[in-house]
This record gives sequence, C-alpha cells and structure tokens, in this order.
Amino acid sequence: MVSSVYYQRFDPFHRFLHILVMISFLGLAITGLPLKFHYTGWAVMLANLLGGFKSAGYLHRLCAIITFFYFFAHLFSVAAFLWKKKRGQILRFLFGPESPIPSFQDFKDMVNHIRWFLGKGPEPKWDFWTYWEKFDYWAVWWGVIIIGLSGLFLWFPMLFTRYLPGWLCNIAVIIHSDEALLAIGFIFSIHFFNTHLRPEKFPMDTVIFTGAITEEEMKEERSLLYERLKSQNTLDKLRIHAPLPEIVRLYKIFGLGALIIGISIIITVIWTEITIMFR
Amino acid sequence: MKNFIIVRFAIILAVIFFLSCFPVGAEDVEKCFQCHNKISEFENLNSLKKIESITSSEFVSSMHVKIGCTGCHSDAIKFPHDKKHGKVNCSACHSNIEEEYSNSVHGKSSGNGDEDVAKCIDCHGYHNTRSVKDIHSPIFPYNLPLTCGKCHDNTSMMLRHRVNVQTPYKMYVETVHGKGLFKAGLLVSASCKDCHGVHNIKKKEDVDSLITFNNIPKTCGKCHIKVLEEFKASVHGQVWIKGGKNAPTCVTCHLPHQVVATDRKDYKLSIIQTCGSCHRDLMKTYRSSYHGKITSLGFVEVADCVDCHHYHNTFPGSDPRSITSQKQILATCRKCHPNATTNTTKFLNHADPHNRHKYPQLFYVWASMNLLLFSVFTFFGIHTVLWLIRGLYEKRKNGNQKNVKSVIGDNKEDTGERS
Repeated sequence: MVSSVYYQRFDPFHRFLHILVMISFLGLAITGLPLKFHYTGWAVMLANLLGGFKSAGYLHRLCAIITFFYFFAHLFSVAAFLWKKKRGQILRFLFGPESPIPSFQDFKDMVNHIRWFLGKGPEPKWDFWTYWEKFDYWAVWWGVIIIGLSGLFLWFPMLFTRYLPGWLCNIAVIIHSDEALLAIGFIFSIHFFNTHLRPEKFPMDTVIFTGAITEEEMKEERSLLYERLKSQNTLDKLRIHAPLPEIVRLYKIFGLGALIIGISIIITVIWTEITIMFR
Repeated sequence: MKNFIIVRFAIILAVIFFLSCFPVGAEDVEKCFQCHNKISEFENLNSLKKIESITSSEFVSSMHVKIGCTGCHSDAIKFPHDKKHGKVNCSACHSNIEEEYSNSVHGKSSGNGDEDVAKCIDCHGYHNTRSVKDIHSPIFPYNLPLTCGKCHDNTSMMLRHRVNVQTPYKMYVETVHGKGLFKAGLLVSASCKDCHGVHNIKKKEDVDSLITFNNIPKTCGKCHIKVLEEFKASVHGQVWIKGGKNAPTCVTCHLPHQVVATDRKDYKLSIIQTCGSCHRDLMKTYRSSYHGKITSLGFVEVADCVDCHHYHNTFPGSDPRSITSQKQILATCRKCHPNATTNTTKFLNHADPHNRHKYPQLFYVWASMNLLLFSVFTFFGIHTVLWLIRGLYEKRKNGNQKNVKSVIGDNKEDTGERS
C-alpha cells in the first residue's frame, strides 16, 4: 500500500488553543452545572465530589481564567497575523476561502447541503472552512463574550455594583445560566456529531489534535481546497510527517475521554429537564 | 377524794396503754418495721404491685417520716392491723394538689379507672418520697425527665393511650434544654414540668393547657423573656396577639422535643423549609437565587431566610424596623459583603423572571434567551438528524467501506516521509 501523504490543516498553536478550549469548557460545565441543577441528587453528589461549593467555585473561576487566556491569545494572534499582511492582502484574506468570516457562499452551501440530505441534489464540495465549522468558530466568540462578561459580573458583584445598579446582577444570572446551557447543549450534541458521530467520521476526527489530513481525505472531503492549493502550487508547502501512531492513540484516548464526559453531561441534563416537566 | 385520784390515774394509765396499742408518730415506725422490714417472710404482705421492699433507710430519710407509717396508712392504726386495707389517699393532707390533679389529663384518666396513668406515687414514690430539692428525688429537676420518660417513652403504653409524641425523653436528651440540664448541670434548663406543668398537665387541645397556640409563647417566655418581647412586637407576634391562627409561634420553628442549637447545619437548612411552608413563593424565588441554590445543595455558608429577615423580630420590608427596609438593608448585606454599596442593594432579591408584570426587564431577557435556545436547538437538531440519516444511507450505499479518516494511525505502513 502506498504510504499516505499528509498535509497540515491546523498549526500547533491553534491545536494547543483548542485543547485549552476543551479542558476549560469541560471544567466550566462540570463545576457550573451543580449550581444550575441544585435541586437534583446528582448535583449534590457532584458538588461534594468537587470539594464543596467554594472549591467548585474556585475551579470554575480557574477554568474561566483559562478561557480568557485562550480568548485573548487567539485575538492577539489574529491581530499579529493580520498585522504582518499588507493592506490589500488583509481584505483578500478576510473575504477569501480561508477566512472564517461567513459569506453568501456559506449560506448557499448550507441550502445545498440540506438539499443533499433530502436527496434533492449532489453533495456540495468543501474548501478550507465548511459553514458549520464557521458557525462553531463564531459561537465560541459569542459564548465567551456573553458568558464571560456576565460571569465577571457574578464573580465581582461588589466591584461592578459600585458603578452599576444591582439589578444587572439579576440579568447577568439569567444570561450566564441560559447561555451556558446553550453552549454545553450545542457542543455536546451538535458539535460532537459534526466531529465524532457523523457516520463518515465515527468514532472521531483526530485532525484537531494532529493537525494532519491525508491527501485522500483532502481529495474526498475538501475537494475545493485540494484543487485550489494544487493550482496555486502551495500544496507541497503544507506537507508534514505522518503523526506517530502512539501519539495518535493518545489523542484518541483524550478525545474519547472528552466525548464520554460531554455525552454523560448532556444525557444527565436532558434527563433532568424531562423529569422536571413531570414534577 | 382518794377515789378521784385513783380514777384519774387509771384513766391516764388506760390512755397510755390504749395509745401504746396504736403505733402513732415516729415511734410507730419501729413497731411496723418489726414485720415489714423482713422481706422474705412478709413478701405476700406487699399487695401493691410496685413495692419491692421497705427498707428503714428508705423511709427514715423520706419527707414523711415525721408522720410515720400510719400518717398515710390510716387504716392500719390498730395493731395488729387487718389483712386487707385500702389505698393510701394523699389528698388527706395534699388536698389542693389533689384538686389540681383531678382536672389534669392524668387525673381525669385515673378517675375513669385507668390503671396505667401517672398517680401521686408514680412520680413521687411512696416510702421514699423526698423533697423536690433533694438530689435523690425522682422529681428533682435532674431526674424528672426520666421519671416522665418511664411511661412516656414506653411506646406500647403510649400507643394504648393514643399519645402521639414518640419517645419524648430520648428526644429531649438531645435537645438544647436536655444538654443544658444533663451535660452542663443547669437545673434551670426547661424540662417537662416547665412546659407541661406538674399537677395541672393538660392536653394541647385543652384551652387551659400551657402548650396551646395561645399560651405557648407565654410558657416559653417564662425564661425567654426578651424573645417574647421581640416576638410580641413582630409581625408574626401581632397576628398571634390578635388571635389569628396563621402565624408561627415558638414551636413552629423550634420543635419542642427537638429544640437544637440554631447554628447547627441541619437546623439552618430545615428553617428554610419551615419559613417556606407558609411563604411558598418567597421560598421558590429564594431557591432561584445564588444563596438559595447553595443551600439547596446542602451548604450553609451563605445567607438564608433568617440572615436577611431575622427571626423573632420579623417585620415586613415596608416597616422601618425591618432589617430589609430601605434604611437598614445596606447594613444587612454588609454583614457578609462588607464592600456592598447602595447600588448593590438594588439587586432584586426574590425576583421572579417569569413574572412579566412585576419584573419586565428580567422577563424579556429570560424570554429572549429561551427563544435563542429553542431556535438554535430546533434548527441544528433537525439539521443533524437529516445529516445522520443521509450519512447512514451513504455508508450503506458505499458498501460500508472503512472511513478514510479512521485509517490514520491504524495503518502500520503509514510512516509518511521521515527523511
């Protein structure tokens, strides 16, 4: 069998940030959910397992600090990236195929994708970013800002209320709690589906850890990207070594671990929400 | 003349002789003990069920030694006395107590022929009756609860008489009052007598009882004077004074046989339920606050009802005496949050985001968030399900080929370029 050729899709810095996202997000979910679902038995057990509400609070804020770290790290890296480009290049990048900014093409892709689900059209071809990946990307921006700001309000209520009225804390609680529920609900079901549970990807896609995709895969899944890079003669620049099988195994264990935790959380939450309705 | 002297002398002798046949006063004790001190020979003389043996030390150190045996056993004056003799009647001397007792729940039962119920000798003993100040007396404050407990902790007896309180003595020992009495030796600690009375014990439903709804605060207030004053001035106390029944009294929050120290964790958590049993909506809104969620999880290091609303001197927030009133609320928050400012007090405690009329800004935030969640999950939920179906269809169409992705790391020849 011909050994596969590997290309890099994600650089080490981005992969590191995503690991931080995973760890902090799971940490925030585990330490935050006992409070939201305080009336359940599992919340009491979890709160005690975390060492009590104070301890859970400290861990929650520690994960929040990691969140703010990756948020600003990414922000600065984007700024640095754009800074290095010349004026015209920036705009071309921002509206080019490698930009995460949503375009009309993405909307068209989504419509065509749904058509394909319903057997009413061919499967669309994908470039560097698919529309659902762009959505995932911006959802984090939205989530971190909304949950982070409201969270800061709840972390330092005395400081904020020195300048702002106290009823903003009431609003902060609603936003923080509901947006967090949206975030974990979305990530642990829809994002997990996109990256793990899709029949084409099952059991998981390791590219976010290894950064590497094979040539076959690129041709198969991201044909537009492949064609574009080939025609620009930039494909070879992205060539990398194959990831070591041992490392890949480690990544798989890590990924599946996160998957199991996330799925356990979402099943517990859904179960609790359903049983509330019958209280 | 001579005859008169002889007759008088004879009369005196006769009287002395006559009197010597009747053991009276302290001297009679010795006479009675000639027989009644020997246990084995005269065991069948013990007609009363509970008598063990009469020891001289027992009786001699009792209160009644001055009146001797016949002071109570008046039908045994003739020596030797008849085999059969009646029950001792304490009311011969203690008539006023007998009257009180006959109106009590024990007395009425006894009058109806109840053999189980407490009578004089059950609490005071009979041959060893001692003063209430005597440390060996069963009615000495230290010993009284156990005396009551002899019957009232007897579950089968209590069941027979339909007394609903389970093992009050055992429970009392663990209460703050019980610990004060038994562990700290504080004789003034409230025990059975202080709340229920002694000879005038009446059922809770009886209007003269010390423990009716109307009387309980006064009963507790005998010792807890300041608390009674605070309570009377409070909004709860005012309802009680005016005869209203839907206000708590002492026993609502401090279960009488389970009174515990109020800083105990389980008590602090239970008080939220107690307040919430009447103030249902307020408990619900408390539970949706951070404080309420933490206490719901079982931790007590945050504010509960009494931290903000106090306990005996509760007032509505509109009353300037309330610690949640405009003037006092900042100081109340500052008890735990020393850096609180006036703006902080604008936090809406007990806010209900579901109430559009009272809290419109919260309602619309809540409604928008719910709409956002609903829309996102509905859209992407459907999207995901459709994708799943299509994906499975594709897989079956392609003859279940292995995914391109999942071969990474599985293919041992996948060494790539290693130069």
